[in-house]
Amino acid sequence: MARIAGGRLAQAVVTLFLATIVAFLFLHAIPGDPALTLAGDSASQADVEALRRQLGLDRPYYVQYARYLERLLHGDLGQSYKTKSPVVDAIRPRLGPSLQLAVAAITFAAILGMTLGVATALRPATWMDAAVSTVSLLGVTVPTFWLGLMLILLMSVEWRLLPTFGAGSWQHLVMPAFTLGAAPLGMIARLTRSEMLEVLPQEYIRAARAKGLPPRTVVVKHALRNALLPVVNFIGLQFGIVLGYAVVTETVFAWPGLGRLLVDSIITRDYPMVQALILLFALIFVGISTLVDLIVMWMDPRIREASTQST
Amino acid sequence: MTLLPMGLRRTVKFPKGRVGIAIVGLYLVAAIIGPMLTPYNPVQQRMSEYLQPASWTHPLGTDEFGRDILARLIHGARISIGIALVASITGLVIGGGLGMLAGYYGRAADTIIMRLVDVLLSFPSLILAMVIAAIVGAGVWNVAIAVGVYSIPVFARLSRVVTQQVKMRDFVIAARSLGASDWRILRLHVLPNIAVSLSVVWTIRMGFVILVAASLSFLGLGVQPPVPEWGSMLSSAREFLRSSPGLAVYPGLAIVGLTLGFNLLGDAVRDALDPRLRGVIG
Repeated sequence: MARIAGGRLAQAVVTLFLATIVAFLFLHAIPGDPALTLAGDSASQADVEALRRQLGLDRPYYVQYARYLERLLHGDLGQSYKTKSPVVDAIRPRLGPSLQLAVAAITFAAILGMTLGVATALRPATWMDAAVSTVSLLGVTVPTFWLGLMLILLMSVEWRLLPTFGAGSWQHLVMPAFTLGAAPLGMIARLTRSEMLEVLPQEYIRAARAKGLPPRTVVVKHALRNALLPVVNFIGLQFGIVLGYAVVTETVFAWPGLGRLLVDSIITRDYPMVQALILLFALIFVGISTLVDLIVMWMDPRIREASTQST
Repeated sequence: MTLLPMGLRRTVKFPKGRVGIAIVGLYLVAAIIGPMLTPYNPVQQRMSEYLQPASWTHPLGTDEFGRDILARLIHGARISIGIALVASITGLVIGGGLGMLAGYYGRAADTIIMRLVDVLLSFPSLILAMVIAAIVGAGVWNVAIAVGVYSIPVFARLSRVVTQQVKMRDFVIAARSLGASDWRILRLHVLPNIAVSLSVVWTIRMGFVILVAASLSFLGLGVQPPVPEWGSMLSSAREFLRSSPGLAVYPGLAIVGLTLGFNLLGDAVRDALDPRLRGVIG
């Protein structure tokens, strides 16, 4: 397993390296001159030229890219056009709330989705089965931002149960996490259901039942454990979608996360901030999908056994 | 050209296929002839009629600039469907073409093309669309380009895998041994055989593409006001959530209806033409 895991880690490093090229090229693909933007409208031509030399923008692309990588390795993500301070200062306080929202949404979706998936697989063709199918279809049809707005309309404006905007307490987290988790919830429920339906008629489940094990043990220890692998894999893939749609959710609920910072930075043309954020999103995304792949490898005895044989 | 009638005939055998075709057909009719039937201009402001409730003259009321909401929704259908078509066809042609080349030629072509696709996949999907939107700028066409590039990886990966399977088939080997050129093999033998899988995924992707385009406009990075795009209408409706909730309800229902139609249709098309794709996408 160590060899396969090592290969997967190497692949992640290569992907991240490619992402740094995209982030670097982004600043050059944007229309407009970075030196001119940073110097401001009142700067003279000489000032702009001096700044261009100081920033190294007069050097060839490969030299600029090498310097960009070097700065990255020293933790320097660039300087904001807007605040003129390091972008890291704006990013750091928003990392926590963003991860909190994404993790809350995916945890909610995973726990409820898997529970509903197992429940409907045990009782197929009942009202609950039909309800879960409908909810999972709605999950992929209802736009995240509209679901958020409708929740605000009902929960905050009509019934006054939950706060509309902002962060700080668990009440603030309920609506954003539900909004963001709704789409993956439906898909996780549907996948768990179909995986369980494949596992349940197997001989080893019948054997487990026949030797008198309690139904709960049969379902959780024998059936779910075997159905879990593709589900965990899928939850990992969903994390990328959740990270993306977190941007929309954060905008709807004025959640102080990285997504809103990204939208605001694009609109105000604070491109160094955008550059740093896309790299950070790639880092989080690649990091999580690698981690999930490693977990799946560890969970799969066929791969895990390979390590005991080789060592 | 036989694919379309065959696909339609098989798709209507499924109830969800019939419902999907009916919904999508309704939106298409609204998009094509609807704007001719409504007496209101969707962008012209009439401040004397702002935020009116539903009435006979304005069946869904008016917005903050006195514009008829129903007229704006109908014009919005034309914009959303237009963006979705341009974006998904861009993704299909570029992604499908690149995947076909990667799958057919293998080796260096495969490595280079699929690494490029991996670069696109190293960003969370919506973030990728946002970044492209930031580069190309706002506006109807630019949203279509951003969402089109966002769709490239799905088509590239699928087309590569299917091409790899087709190129091992006897008729391709026979054509090659008879001296057919690569271009001829790709055009006459590979393309017709991967077209079914690609068109199934294309139908399924339409729903996603509509949601992504509307999300970009909602965030202020896509279609800009006063153009009557549903996502952008929802974005401006946020300020009037208390006083005129209808402003936020109707455009959302319009999006849900259209994506629901395409999802049902996509599911039926997949079951009718290529059930093996079940679970691969959507």
